[in-house]
Amino acid sequence: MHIPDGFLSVKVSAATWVISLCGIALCLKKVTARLKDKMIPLMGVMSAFVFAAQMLNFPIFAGTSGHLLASALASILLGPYAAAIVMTCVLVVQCFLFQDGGITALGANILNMALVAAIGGYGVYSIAKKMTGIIVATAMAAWLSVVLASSVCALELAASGTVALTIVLPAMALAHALTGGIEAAVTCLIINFILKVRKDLLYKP
Amino acid sequence: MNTRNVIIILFLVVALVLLLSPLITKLPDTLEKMAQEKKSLDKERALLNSPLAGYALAGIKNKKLATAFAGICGIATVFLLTYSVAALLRKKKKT
Repeated sequence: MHIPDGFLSVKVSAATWVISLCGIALCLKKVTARLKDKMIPLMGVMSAFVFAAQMLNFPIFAGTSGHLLASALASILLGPYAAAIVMTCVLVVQCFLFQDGGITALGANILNMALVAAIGGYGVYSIAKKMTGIIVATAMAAWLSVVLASSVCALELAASGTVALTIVLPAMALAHALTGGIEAAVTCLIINFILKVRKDLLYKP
Repeated sequence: MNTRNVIIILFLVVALVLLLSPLITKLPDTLEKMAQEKKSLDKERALLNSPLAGYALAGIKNKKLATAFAGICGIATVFLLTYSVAALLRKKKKT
């Protein structure tokens, strides 16, 4: 889902950079207001885990691969704003050190994977948690965060005129509906384990 | 979360990458696959030239070893960056 350089038009690139910078500024403000000492190492290890999880590509179908996103996991543990900052740090390192995702597309990648996936995922989790339970809400948040992020990515590519929306949206949504299933299963296993051993680690709004 | 637990979790994350990195597929992701199939999408141009590009440390011939090293570098960098950002925000809050 990491968009490389050359895939986005200048307009879409600039617009997504502006939206992401504003979003990250808001997240930094929100996190600073309620950051506790115990959250600092948790944010550090979470980012290490997100990086590792995103590095492990696995085959999906028709000769394509995918990887976990771990945005929903981060937001369930750290809250949406701290999770967005964690995801942004991971994306910055992936972009500059590993050339995974382009520099001009970094704004779009932050928008998709840090803002839409983490904050959107948390929104789904907090609504679903009231109606079902933590585990079902986790599964829904994990799956939807991946599908939502990939759909926004498809919209950006279509808005850039790079590829028709009728081609890119179904392709991205279908591939990520499948990786989202694996994402949901892995996220549920981890949250289930944390609920048993360290329930206090879950974010309390 | 105390320092001991942080170190244990980081070791577990590194172990996960070392254990699973030989199994990482080289298949393209959906975007790369579409770029291969559609010439209009084939515009990828890297603006950087990092020694860790493509999750493999340049200069190491053994690809699995190069990926494992890249993974360890990435985990360390990401952890330090995020920890520093969070610590700076905490410091800002206190002042």
